[in-house]
Amino acid sequence: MRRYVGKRLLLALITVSVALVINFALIHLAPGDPTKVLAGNGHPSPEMEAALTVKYGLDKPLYVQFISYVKNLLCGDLGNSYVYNQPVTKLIAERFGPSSLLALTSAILAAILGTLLGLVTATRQGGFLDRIINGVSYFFYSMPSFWLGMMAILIFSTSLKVLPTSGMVSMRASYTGMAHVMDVMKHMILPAGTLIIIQIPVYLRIFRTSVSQTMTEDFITTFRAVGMDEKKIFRRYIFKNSILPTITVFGINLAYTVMGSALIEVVFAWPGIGRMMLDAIGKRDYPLLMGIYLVLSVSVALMTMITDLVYAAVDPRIRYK
Amino acid sequence: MSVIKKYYRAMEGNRALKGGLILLTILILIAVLAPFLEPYGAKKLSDDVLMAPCQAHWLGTDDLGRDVYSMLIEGSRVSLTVGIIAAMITAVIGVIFGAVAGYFGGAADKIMNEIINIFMMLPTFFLVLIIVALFGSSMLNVMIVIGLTSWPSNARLMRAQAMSLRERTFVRSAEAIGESRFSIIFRYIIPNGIFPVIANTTMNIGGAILTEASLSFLGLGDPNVVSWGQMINQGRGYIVNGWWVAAFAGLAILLIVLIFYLIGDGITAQMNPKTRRR
Repeated sequence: MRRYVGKRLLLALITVSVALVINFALIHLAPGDPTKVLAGNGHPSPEMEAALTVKYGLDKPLYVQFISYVKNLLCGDLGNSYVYNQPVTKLIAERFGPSSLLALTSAILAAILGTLLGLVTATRQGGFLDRIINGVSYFFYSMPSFWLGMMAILIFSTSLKVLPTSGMVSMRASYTGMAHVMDVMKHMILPAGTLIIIQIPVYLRIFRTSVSQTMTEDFITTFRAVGMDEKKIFRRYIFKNSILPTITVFGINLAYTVMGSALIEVVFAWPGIGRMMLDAIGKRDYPLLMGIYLVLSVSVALMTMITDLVYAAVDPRIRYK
Repeated sequence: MSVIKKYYRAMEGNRALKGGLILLTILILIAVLAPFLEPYGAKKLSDDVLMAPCQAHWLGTDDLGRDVYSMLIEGSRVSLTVGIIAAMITAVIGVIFGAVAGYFGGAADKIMNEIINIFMMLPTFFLVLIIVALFGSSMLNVMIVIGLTSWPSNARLMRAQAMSLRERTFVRSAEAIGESRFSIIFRYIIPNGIFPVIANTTMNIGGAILTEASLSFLGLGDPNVVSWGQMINQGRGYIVNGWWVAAFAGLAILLIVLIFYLIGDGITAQMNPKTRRR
């Protein structure tokens, strides 16, 4: 087990390093010179150019530059946003709450609902319910999430006028306490609903495939042959053996919750990291962009590692391979 | 003719594959014949701004007076081109990388497998987003970047195939005769292990189309072409009094992606004797 943990840790470290290198390379390969990219502005003032040159050692050889780049990062300095004129770390921290609130809620609900539906279809393969649910899931699997969000706004907000169109809180009323919570929840229904509907097919399909695979395993056939109760086989053996891929997907999805759900945040004007990132693209705020990308890469690498470890703890077959 | 009949019979009962292929054929015809099918020309402006669907404009017009129906037909070209070329790139890289890793095994495989794992962990969509934002959003860039970032799933499948194929007798005999490793990989390993990759590549086409649409929706698509993602982006501005622009473009994306997922699933089902309908 210790060897396994070490291996995973090493892999996560390498992944983060690769992300660092890609990030560094992008700044230097992008058209125009790196000061312009780092300043986020085609025409930085001479003073700013000089300051950036000193900070990142742009007049020194590339490897020295890379070292000072990493050094800055290790000190928690992701640079300054040129549009907001604030440290990138601060900007990310501010928007972390709204982003993860939306993304986490929908990830958890989608995982539960998707697995439940997967359970329904897997046990009735080829049946009426299986066909209906499968067909519908195909549709939502192929649907662009941002479009579904827009259609939801069109139907529930502008036509029926039952839910707010955008934002996280009502601008006109400044609620506190319980009223504030209710207000946020009301604003969350559409974006969270969209995200859940888009993600359900993923969980459904994974669980369904996994169950059908487990069902063909020899030990299940053996249990059947000796006449064990079907329900007991399912609860005790099939379910436990089939849930593992779901854990993996859920773990990786959790990692992305740091980022929020950029497209959905844009559609619903949700004040999260994803939306800030797209703003940063529009305004060519490269330091902010790079910072967000780095934070995301690190969190994905970490979460993948944690998922792998959970997996190994649950399933001894992986540990001893 | 008999070949077509043979394949048609082989698909008996596989409705996903059959339906998907028929729809794909229609779609490709639409894309190829686009100039003849567009009643107005996709980029032609007119004074009929934001007209609701009517007889003259079946699916209405957008804020610049362009005919939505014509734009949809024109947009099929972008989606198909981006999807297919990007997926082809993933197939070529994935197949070669996976086959070499799986066939050679040992230290080479270990390193290559970890490279696959690392690429799988990189957040693809955001990498694509940043690269396109930095390097410009021509269609060529978009296709290449999507292709270069989404090959690991193909590599993984091909590697597994190569690992099992290299133990088979016919590969062993080729080795015994003294065929070069290069020719074994290209003559025996890849042709015999390619089917799961084909199924996955078909799915990748759908994925690439969705990625392109998302990029265009965020304003990072090629500004010189008409694409469905862009139409949704535009339609967002007047969703209340011109819902038809975004709504129909989204339906088009849904349909095209659905077709490729159906075919991909159909191929998978076709390969698996357990799921093949009797």
